[in-house]
Amino acid sequence: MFHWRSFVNKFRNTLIDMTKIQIISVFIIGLAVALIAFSGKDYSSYSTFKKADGDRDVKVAVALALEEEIYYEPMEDPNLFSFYAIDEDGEKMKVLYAGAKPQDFERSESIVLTGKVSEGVFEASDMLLKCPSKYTDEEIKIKGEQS
Amino acid sequence: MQEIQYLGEHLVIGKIGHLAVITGFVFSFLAAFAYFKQVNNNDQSWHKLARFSFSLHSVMVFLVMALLFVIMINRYYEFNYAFKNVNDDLPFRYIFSAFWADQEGSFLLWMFWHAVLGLIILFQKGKWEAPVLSVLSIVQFFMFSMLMGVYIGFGEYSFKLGSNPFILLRETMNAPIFNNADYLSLIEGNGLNPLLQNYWMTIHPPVTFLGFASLTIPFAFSIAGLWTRQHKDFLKYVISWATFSGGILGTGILMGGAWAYEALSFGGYWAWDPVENMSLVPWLMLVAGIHINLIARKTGKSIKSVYSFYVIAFILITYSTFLTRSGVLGETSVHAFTTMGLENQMLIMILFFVFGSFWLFRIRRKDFKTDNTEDNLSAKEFWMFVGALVLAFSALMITLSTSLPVYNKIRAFFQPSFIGTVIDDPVDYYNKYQLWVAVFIGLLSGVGQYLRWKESRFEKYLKKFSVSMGVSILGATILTLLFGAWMDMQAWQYWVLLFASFYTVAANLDYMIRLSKLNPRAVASSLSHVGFGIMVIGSLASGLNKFHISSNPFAQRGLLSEERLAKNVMLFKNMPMFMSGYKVTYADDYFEGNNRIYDIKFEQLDSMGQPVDSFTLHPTALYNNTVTKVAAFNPSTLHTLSKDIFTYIASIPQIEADVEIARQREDSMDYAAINLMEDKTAFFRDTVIVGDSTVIRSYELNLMEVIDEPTHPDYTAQEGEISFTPKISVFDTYYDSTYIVEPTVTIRGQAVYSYNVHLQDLSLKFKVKEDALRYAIVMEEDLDYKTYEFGMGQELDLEGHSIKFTGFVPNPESVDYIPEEGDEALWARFLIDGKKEVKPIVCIRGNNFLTFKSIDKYNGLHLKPLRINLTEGGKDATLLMSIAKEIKSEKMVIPIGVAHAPRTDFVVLESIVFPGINLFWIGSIVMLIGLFIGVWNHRLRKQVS
Repeated sequence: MFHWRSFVNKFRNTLIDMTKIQIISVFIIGLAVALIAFSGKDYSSYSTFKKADGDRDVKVAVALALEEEIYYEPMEDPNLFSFYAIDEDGEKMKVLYAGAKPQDFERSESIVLTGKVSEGVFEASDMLLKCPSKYTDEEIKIKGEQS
Repeated sequence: MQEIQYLGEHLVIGKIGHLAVITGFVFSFLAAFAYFKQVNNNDQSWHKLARFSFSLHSVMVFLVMALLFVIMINRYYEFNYAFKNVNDDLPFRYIFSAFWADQEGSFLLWMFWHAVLGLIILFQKGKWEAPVLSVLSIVQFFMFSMLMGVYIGFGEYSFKLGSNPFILLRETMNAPIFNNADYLSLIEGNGLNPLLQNYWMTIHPPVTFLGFASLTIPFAFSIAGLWTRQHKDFLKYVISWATFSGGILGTGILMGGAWAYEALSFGGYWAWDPVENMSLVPWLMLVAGIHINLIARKTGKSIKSVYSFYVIAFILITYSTFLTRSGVLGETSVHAFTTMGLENQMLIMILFFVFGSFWLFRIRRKDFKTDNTEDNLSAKEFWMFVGALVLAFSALMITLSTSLPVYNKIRAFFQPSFIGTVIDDPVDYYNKYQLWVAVFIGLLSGVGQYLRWKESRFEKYLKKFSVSMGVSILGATILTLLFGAWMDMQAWQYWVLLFASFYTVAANLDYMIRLSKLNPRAVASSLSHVGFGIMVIGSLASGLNKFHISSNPFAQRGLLSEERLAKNVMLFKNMPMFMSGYKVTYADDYFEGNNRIYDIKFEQLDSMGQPVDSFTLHPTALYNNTVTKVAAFNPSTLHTLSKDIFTYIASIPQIEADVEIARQREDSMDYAAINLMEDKTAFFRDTVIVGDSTVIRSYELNLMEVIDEPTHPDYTAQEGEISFTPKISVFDTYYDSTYIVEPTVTIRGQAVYSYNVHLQDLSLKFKVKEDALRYAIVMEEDLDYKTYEFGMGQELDLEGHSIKFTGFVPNPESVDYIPEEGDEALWARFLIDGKKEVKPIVCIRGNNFLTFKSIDKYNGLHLKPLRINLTEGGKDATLLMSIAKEIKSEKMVIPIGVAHAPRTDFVVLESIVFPGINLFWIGSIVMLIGLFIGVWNHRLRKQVS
């Protein structure tokens, strides 16, 4: 049996018995948990191009559309990199990124884009590439063979 | 299937190694048990066995490491670990890096330090030896289990215990090559990731793992203290170990930051990456623990908190290991390990220590009667404790946020439709909260110094306190305003942080010098706090005020919104570019091993455009181990007192970055066919797109001559080859300038090689077609040689050519002539038509007279020395020559190809200025020095007491 009254009494006594340090401790831990729990606007799940049409940057997990043009001509503009990507809904969209084309871009399995849609084009402020087996190549190399 | 007897394998090393792992596993448990018995039963008869077991387990750790080194140094590729991490070309100095680049090796490194620290405690022979080493041995027991590599079956389930570092390659994969008994002579290892071939990789992991391992010691002391109930004594002995660990782990973390900043193109030293976070968090808890430890020693209160903080710091290290090695972090981290398949085992280890510690706390809770005397707000210990709580708050925030992927996984397990979330902008997110942590730490560590332990009559002391406060606040305000004038402080929060940081610097300096008169104890704590303040100021300065100088304001194209600022500029070789007050030139590039080094020259210009300062940076493109593809771009940084200029190459032409792409481009290149004839100009028209319009450029091509020695940079002469190299002048009619190209075609046995020339300035590429080789292939029997005698300086007219013998030249070199000991060899130098030099070789080797002929390909003249006639007295010599001229039935028609080929001699450069970054490094180092002085103080004091 749960004794409601005795529980409340116990809780009250604990509070009274607490020293300042203990109160501060409880407060600080509570603050941390509350900040994490209520800072929901700092997190978001991966969005889609359709939902990225807002003021805020969102993250979209995409795959590279290899059949479309991957454009980076540093001689024209070293800060313009564009390609087409397909989001989880299967929607294809042009992506612009103000920067250089990352190394091994074509090999990336998936890309996490940060940015937003503006006039039918996704403007990315950041890209995170996921490349297959980044650290090891599980292949047996034969000596002397030209790779 | 028939068992194959493989050749050349060193199976016995693997057997001994695995046996050593199992022995270590058993004896670490035995050590734990024996020490446990010794303590719990107070029975000294266990002591010998315990010490023996611990020592033997340490020997096993060293043996396993040594054997793993042996297989790596000798490249025994039959072992998976050697195959995965080294290759034939890996320099010896990177063997260590390769050793701890992988999971098993890094575990071993950690265990190595545990063993070393444990042996130090063992040889000190103190009363803490038995309980502390009992705990340490249990930790080692769990770690050895990670290396066991045995399968344990429960009915139809089988459980893999650990991952054996000595597993054979052919046990890890099935490949047809293993049908060959002599497969070892055919394979080579994968080698170390080029990114890790770096001196930081040699020193950063050992220091960091010493930090990890040293953190286990305060934990072991805590468990030992709770277990043996020597709470007071515990406080005295643990503090020097804890401070030592704080210093070392801090050094390890800082080295990681330095590595990222110096050698990787992250563009910073801290990115709030999960791996970084989870090494910082235990350090924060440890530092909080050290502060409470000091309080507890002074006041006898808060002992329970000391225990909790040290235990939590250790558990966080194990949790951190779990996060970085289990693959849970997935895409949120750039540098997590690949999975090792030991997630469950690691979880069991964490849970064992969590519940074990918790249980021990429960049964000992009566030892700590809560002392309900009211806390004294004017006493040092109160504010110090609050400071420790702020650190714990920071640790808690970072841990919870970093664990978001874990939360996602757990929730998705119970609710499959759940879609996980990620932090939108980690850097912003963490900075936002941690800024206030730094503000509180700054203020508390400043005020705290002026307060006294157990102060109860603050009124009497108030005047002195107020003076100190006044001095430090005044100092901090002046410094903040001065600094704020230099830096752009963007938001009020940063002003608050700047003040708090300067406040702790001022207050601690004041306390250290004026009040405590450089008393060593005060120096330790004050220096740490001063360092902390300077570090935060440095990160504010470099983080808020970093700016790209690599932007060219005229190159904006309006395609992207303004907020996406351009960060890169493109530099053509030898064409200076002006950016943000610098004249930047890409001067050169060259290979050193698989590292391609670029010379980028910076000249700083004053407002009049006059150069005031110049320096050269060397960013690199690091190619993979076969030098076929760029693996990474590494930065180069100019360090000055007030700022750093961090520069790296963001991109190079694909053709330069990848041999495969270069090959594809060359194959698909459309060469226009042009026939070059003597004394006749050929034309080439190139259509160029400039902006929206097309422009036609025309060029005049003239055959100047055919040269004998190819000049192409990729060409190296080989014996027995035949090559053909026309020298062509290219006249650009638009810019009225002339260029010379010398493409080569060579036949070696059956294979034809083209050495094409890319004229970057004109975006043209030239090749000689294979057919041209017919002018180079002349049958010796078709030649009609005639004999002529030449005196020194003598000239001869032969079928319209003047041939003049100009004398001998020593030290001849040629592909055909291979010098031998005792040779007397000379070039015989001839001048054809007064301009072209032809140099056949004469050589006396023993009793033989050897000659090597030389050909003037353009004129078709073959010059073969026959012998040297010495005249009387030996003063003069005449040379007898056999000379033939090729009979040409037709005029030479050289087929060449010309194609439009965009320039490839450029780099895309990113250059960032970090102002005041030295303050960050200086501050961090000062903070660590403070900690190490603390270690010294505690050790001295312990010896006295």
